[in-house]
This record gives sequence, C-alpha cells and structure tokens, in this order.
Amino acid sequence: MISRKIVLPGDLVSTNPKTAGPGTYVEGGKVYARVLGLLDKTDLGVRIIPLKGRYIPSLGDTVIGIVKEVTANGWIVDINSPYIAFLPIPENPAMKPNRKPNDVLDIGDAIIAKVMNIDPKMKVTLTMKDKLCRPIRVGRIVAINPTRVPRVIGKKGSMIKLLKSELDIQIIVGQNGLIWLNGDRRKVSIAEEAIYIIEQEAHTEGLTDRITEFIKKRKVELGLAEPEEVGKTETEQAEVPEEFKENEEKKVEEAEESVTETENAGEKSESKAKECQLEERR
Amino acid sequence: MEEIKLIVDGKRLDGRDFEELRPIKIEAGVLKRADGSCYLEMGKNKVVAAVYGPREVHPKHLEDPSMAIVRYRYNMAPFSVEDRKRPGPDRRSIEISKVSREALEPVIMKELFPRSAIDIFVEVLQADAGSRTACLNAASVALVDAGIPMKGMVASVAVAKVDGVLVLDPMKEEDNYGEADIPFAFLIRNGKIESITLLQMDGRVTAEELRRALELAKKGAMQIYQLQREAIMRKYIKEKEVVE
Repeated sequence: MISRKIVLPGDLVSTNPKTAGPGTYVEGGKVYARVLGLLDKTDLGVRIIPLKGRYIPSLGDTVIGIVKEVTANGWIVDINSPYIAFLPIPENPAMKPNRKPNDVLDIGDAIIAKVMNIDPKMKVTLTMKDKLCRPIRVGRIVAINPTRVPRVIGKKGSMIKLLKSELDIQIIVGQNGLIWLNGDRRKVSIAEEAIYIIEQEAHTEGLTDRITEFIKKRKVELGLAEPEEVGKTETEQAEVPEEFKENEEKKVEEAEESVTETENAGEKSESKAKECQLEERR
Repeated sequence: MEEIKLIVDGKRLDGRDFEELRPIKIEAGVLKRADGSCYLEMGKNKVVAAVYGPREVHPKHLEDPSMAIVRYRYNMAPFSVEDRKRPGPDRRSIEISKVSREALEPVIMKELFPRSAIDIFVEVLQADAGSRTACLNAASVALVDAGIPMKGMVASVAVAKVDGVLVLDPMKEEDNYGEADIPFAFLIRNGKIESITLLQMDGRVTAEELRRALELAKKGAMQIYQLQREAIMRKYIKEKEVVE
C-alpha cells in the first residue's frame, strides 16, 4: 500500500470537477477536501478517507443498536449516530400477535439489525428480517470510531477473516462502530485488544501482519497456544463455536418463552448483557 | 493617558515588532470524551475547545429539518482574569458566543446533517486580550479534529491601534490603553484567504487605517493557519511514528 497524504478541509485536491468523490466538494470548478482524512487519488476519481467523524446511516447497513424506548408500534433504537432509529413491530420476526413488545425486546437490549429505510428528514427505519439480525444476549460489544470500521473488516474482509480464523470466535461488525464478539472469553479479550489496536493504527501500513503477530503473542501469553498444545486446543476450539451457537439459540428461545424464569443460562446472559452495556459505554 | 508609553524605541512593551504575533502553541485532540478538541496558547491566553457532534438536538424544538444547528459557547473561568470573574454567561460572553458562532457557521457544511446539532464549547482558562480570536482558532482546530465537513479553516487575529501605530495581536496593556482594537476572522481555503467571517471594532480608526489593519491581520492569520495545520498533522504523524 502506498502512503497516503493527510489532507485538511479546504485543501485543493483536484482541478477536474468530474473526479470529485466522497469527502470532497466542488466550488468554482475546483475540487476541495471537506474533511480531515487521507487523500485517495486514482484514475477513477478523488476521494477522502475520513479519519474522524460520526456514523451517518446509509441504506442496507448492518448496525448494532441499544433499545432506548418501547412504544406500542415498535422500538426506538440508539445506533450510535446523530439520528435515532425505529424498529417497527412487523419488522421483528420474534414478535407474535399475542406478545407485548416489551416482552420481546426491552430497554437496554442490544440488537443486530439492518437499515431498511431513511427518509429525507433522516428518520431511520430498521429491520430484523435477515438471518444476520438477532437480539444479542451473549458475548461482548466493543465500540470503536465508525470511520475505522473498514479497516476492521479489511480488504474483502481479510482482517475479519484473520480474527475469526485465528481466534475461533463469532464476530459481527456493525457499520456504526459497534462490534459484537462471542466465543471463548479469553479469545474474545484478545480480539477486543486487537480491534482497539486496529482502531488506533487504522491509517498506518502493514496492519494485518502486525495484528497476526499480536494475536499469536497474546495467545501464548494467555496459555491458549503453547507450542505442544497447539493442535489439541485447536481441535477443541473447533467444536466450541457450534456449541456456542446452539447454546445461544437455546438461551434466546428460553428467554422468549419465559422471561421471568431465571435459569443459570438466563442469568449468565443477563450479566453478560450488562457487561455489554458497560463495554459499550466505555 | 499619555503617561503610559506603549511603544518604546520602535518596539512594543514585550519586545515584539509591530507585525509580530505572540508565541502560539496548539495541541489537537487533548480531550478523550469530545469528538474533537484543542488546547491553544496565544501569548498568555490559554483556552480549551471541545466539539461534539453532529448529535441529536436537545431541546427538540431547536431542531432544523433542513440543516444542522451550530451552538457555540464561549465561557471564561472565574480564575481567568486578575479579579475573580463571576461565573456564568454575561452580556459580554453571550455576545462573543454569537459573533463567533456566526464566524464558523458559513464554514461548516451544515446541510449535510439535517436535524442534528454541532456543539462547540470553548473555555478560557487564562485571558490576556484577544481571547475571542484565540478561542476561534482553537474551535477551528477542534472542528477539523472532530471530522466535521467544512469548506476550509478559520484563522483569527486582532489588530490594535496603539500610540497611533497599528500593531498585530495586541496583548493586555495594548488592549486596555490603546486607541482601537479590531478582531478579524478569515475563512482560509487551500492556503488562501477567501473571506472575512468576523470583524468587530472597539475604538476609532480612519478608513485608511482599517484597510491597512486588514492587510496586517491577513498576514497574521496566514501564520496562524500554518500553525493550526501543523498541530493537526502532528497529531496524526505522531501516531504513525509510535507504530514504527
């Protein structure tokens, strides 16, 4: 990767208005940068990769949100953006005619959803009619700067694949900078640390290699990958995710069937959900 | 009045030339919780700026369905001046907040964020004349640091008339005993001054002097603009070096 130049708002980036891409504006036939970011100039056009900024929802994005309010016809969801989102009852498949909205999702619950519609007044509507979408009852949510999300995903998902294969955990990245991690606690912790490193060093080069090294180092430090045990732990771990998935589904079902019932699993997921919120606030 | 000599042997009281700025120190991204922040020293002025947003508007009725609203709060700490300043907004700080907000509004691309608010808070920790210009410079850096889309950057500087001479960036004595004080703010794009976004005047100067004051301020603003750029660049290049 070539080192890119840092540009500030108002810097002249091109004299051809036809090349103007995201992060630029045209005035008097000239193209200027409008945000702080890295200049990406190719034959196709000029764009600025922002270094900072809030998440602005766009159609079809996967987002992770926290339910802020339950209303008669849906849920109001905080998606870590200047705009709050609304999840209508018909858009949540978990909703059955004989159930109340606050039995399905209550205040403080985290969900994975997709942006279904945005009207010109920036009223955002979410949907959960997708196999990726689910309420989050287990795992951990990590919050990062939304502009760094593309780096966490990597080129064609290279970074996320690396994390998943090295650590054997479930990861879902919300475009709004919230990332859900699920799996072995220690491995999730390593992933969390790795994600923070990616966030910090997003605009530098050779990041994937450094992250690979970092994960290997941390795995050894935490005793997850002693040279002799490598094969053993990996075979063990290979089975874990499926179990986790099953557990999770069970938990979800349990929670749906009897919310008041506090089974061990339910308690665990509750405490984890709290943990999630704490993480998120941080 | 003439007992206090503000210009001695062609130099100012603090040894500066007429067209010389006070030493400036700018640091971007000093606050963790703010989206963008900046600490700035301009001579003895010490100010901190924090930018939040775009974010939800509270109270809701201030919301504008077509663009973001910009809120600017200039506030002086009680310990920022020699006599204790009564805390809270007063006539002066409300006025400065208003003019400073209006200086930044044309630069910020508000139409990109309908129904949201961009909040700018600037605290004066120590004041020594020209604190509104210092605050605007800090706010401009903080806005860039917050990643808010803007047409360019704002650089601000004052010119004073002291003992019949126009001087750049007056300090406290020159402000208090001088004949006029004229703060300017400019929109700077691609290293060129595009327009004036703030111009106030306290005291009296001739039309010709005002013209010369403008030229003087432009020179000063360009120097400040360079320092602002460097401050932002430094933050990101430093991060780069830590990695290597």
